[in-house]
Amino acid sequence: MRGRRNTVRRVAALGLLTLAAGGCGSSQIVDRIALVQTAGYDRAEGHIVTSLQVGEYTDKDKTKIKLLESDSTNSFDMMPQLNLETNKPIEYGQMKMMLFGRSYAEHGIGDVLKILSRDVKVQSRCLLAVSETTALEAMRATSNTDDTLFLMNMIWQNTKTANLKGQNLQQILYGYHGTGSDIFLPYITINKQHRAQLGGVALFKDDRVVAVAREAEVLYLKLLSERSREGSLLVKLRASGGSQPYLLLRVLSSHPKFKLVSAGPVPSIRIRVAMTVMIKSISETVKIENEAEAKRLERVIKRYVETGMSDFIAKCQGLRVDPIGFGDFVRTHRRGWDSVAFYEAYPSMKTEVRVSVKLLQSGIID
Amino acid sequence: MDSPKSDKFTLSPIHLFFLLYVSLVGAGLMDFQRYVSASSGQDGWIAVLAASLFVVLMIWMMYGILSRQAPPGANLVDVNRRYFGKAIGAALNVCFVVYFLWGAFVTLRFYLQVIEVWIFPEMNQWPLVICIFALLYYTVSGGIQTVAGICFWGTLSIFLFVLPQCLPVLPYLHPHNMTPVLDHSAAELFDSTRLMARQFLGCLVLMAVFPYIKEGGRSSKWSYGAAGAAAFIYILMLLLALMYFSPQQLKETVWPTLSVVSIIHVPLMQRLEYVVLNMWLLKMVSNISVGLWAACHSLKQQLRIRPRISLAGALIGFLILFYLVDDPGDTRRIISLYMKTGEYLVFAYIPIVFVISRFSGKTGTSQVGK
Repeated sequence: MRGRRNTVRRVAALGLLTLAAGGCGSSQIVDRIALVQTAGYDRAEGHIVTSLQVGEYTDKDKTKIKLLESDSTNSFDMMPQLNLETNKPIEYGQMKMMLFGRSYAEHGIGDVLKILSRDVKVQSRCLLAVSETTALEAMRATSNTDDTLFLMNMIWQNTKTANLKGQNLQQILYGYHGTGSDIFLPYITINKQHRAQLGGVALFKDDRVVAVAREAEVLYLKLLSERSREGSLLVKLRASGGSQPYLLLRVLSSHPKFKLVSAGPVPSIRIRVAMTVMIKSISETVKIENEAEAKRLERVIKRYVETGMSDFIAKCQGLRVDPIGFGDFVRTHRRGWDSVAFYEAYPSMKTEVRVSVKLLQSGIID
Repeated sequence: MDSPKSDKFTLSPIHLFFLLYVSLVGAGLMDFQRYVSASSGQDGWIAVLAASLFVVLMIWMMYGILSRQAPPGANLVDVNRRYFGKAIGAALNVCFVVYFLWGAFVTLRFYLQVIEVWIFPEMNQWPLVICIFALLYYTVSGGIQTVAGICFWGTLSIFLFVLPQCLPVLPYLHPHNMTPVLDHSAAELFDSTRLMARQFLGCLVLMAVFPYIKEGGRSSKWSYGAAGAAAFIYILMLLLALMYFSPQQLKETVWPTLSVVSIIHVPLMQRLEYVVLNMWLLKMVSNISVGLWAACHSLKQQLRIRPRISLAGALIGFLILFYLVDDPGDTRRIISLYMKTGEYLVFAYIPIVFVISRFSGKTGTSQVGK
């Protein structure tokens, strides 16, 4: 009796192991599939152009970039359409970058966001961006780099070490579904040397691009919306006599703090930004020889950043976009928040920006 | 027939922790956030806390019931026969057997559905099903000690593999989402509490395994510990989801726990949710085998059917059901029916029996099972 039971259990265990070993069947080898890494959407008259950057891993240690494009009437059948023109099955589980041409993004990226959020194959870490030209051209501009993820790496490293506030798919969906902020995406331009470069940040109203924040505004957006430890800012100083004096600052740390002064029908918010900055380079004509001059320079920087940030907020209010997330701030600080009423009053919302600057002296006395 | 006295069939009280923890934390951990926060938003954690306290109350009542029985009769089947008479008691016992089986099947179906959608949409599910069934047969036919053993691993798999994954998610959280606190009415909080309490229906397993615990009366701290651990993991997962998603986004996310994990990537392993889902197999198998064991064991006590026969029967029944209940809509319906029935069969049953036992004699002499 016992022996028979043990035999049954042994057979069951053996069968289990066999089945488990047989489970390793669905492997896909990288040179037998078309591994999509960057994808793009464009709008041309009356139809949608979709494009893919696929890495070809035929030679060892070498990546050849292949660019595929296809016309379609809609945004939904990108993969099946492009699959018609490849000799290997398309796999997009490793897609890490999605690019929208500006004209496409002006008509709304909601459909694509919906597709991406529904598909569990798409990584939450996928980055999105808007291109000034068509997405196809932006990808073509990177095809001599041997890096199918060139744009993604460019955005990523600028987020890590410079002024951009980059967001992955999850963070963008957070803002897109949320009622208290608007999304923004990195804006890619092609420069005179025909290279793709980061040209700013595209501001969205719902799912449509309405404006682009450029240069210092990109940094202000980052400093206003999160704690950060990186970024650089070029300050134009008042000219005294001859040439225009400049000051290049590196932001060592920055911490925004919001205070709801009154929620009222028209909300009023005070924003304090505490920054520690370091001078990277400075025009020869500006002197910082003693404490008093350093303090004076701190005040100049403070006023410059305050004006810049206030102007940027005013610009956003004028466009009725809320990339900084004032709505989310009020939502989490007042009971019974109403998104419609808040954005009704948004353009007339009062904000007061107060920046405190701590200037860290660099090694030499200027 | 059998006296659960000999060492070979008993468990030390600490095993109760694993058995009960596994029964309390089921497949619902993947998607409960959506239901709980639907009406009470960021205050959902209060509902989870309230539901956990409710379960602690249920466990306390079950100990109350069990302590009033003579030791051999201190189990679900004999309690029913004692208080409800032979015929009604037997009917009730069959109901509970069906209910345990149903719970096990619901868990299995739900888990396989997640696998199908998330990992292998194009895979033929039958090999996996057969594989899991072999594992289940192996575990449950091994008796309560094997079941307790796999529950140990099921518990550990969550604490070892899921908890460390909270750390890389931290940068993506929005702690402000938790304020303002108490922005919802009592009725909304009650709705959420009720939905949350349904996750804890497995607590009834305590009545079935109790006779197998050495010094059962003194095992209560492990039961409360299990309830505490379950509350902890549920609250943690809820807080993660509430801070990770914006409120509207959470409403549209089918399996929030998996979506949260999907943001993590480690060298060589870009998609961690695949690993988590595989680890979850251990958790699911332990959960299902506890249900199966409780069903087969109760069936043996009530109808004297040999457990291995009833186990084989149950698994064959599962196979047939598995074939019939195929699309996600059906799965959702059987889960929701399971939970609604459970409210009466578990959460109304326990207090009623508690009250009855309070007013009948201290120790009833069990007339059956001898």
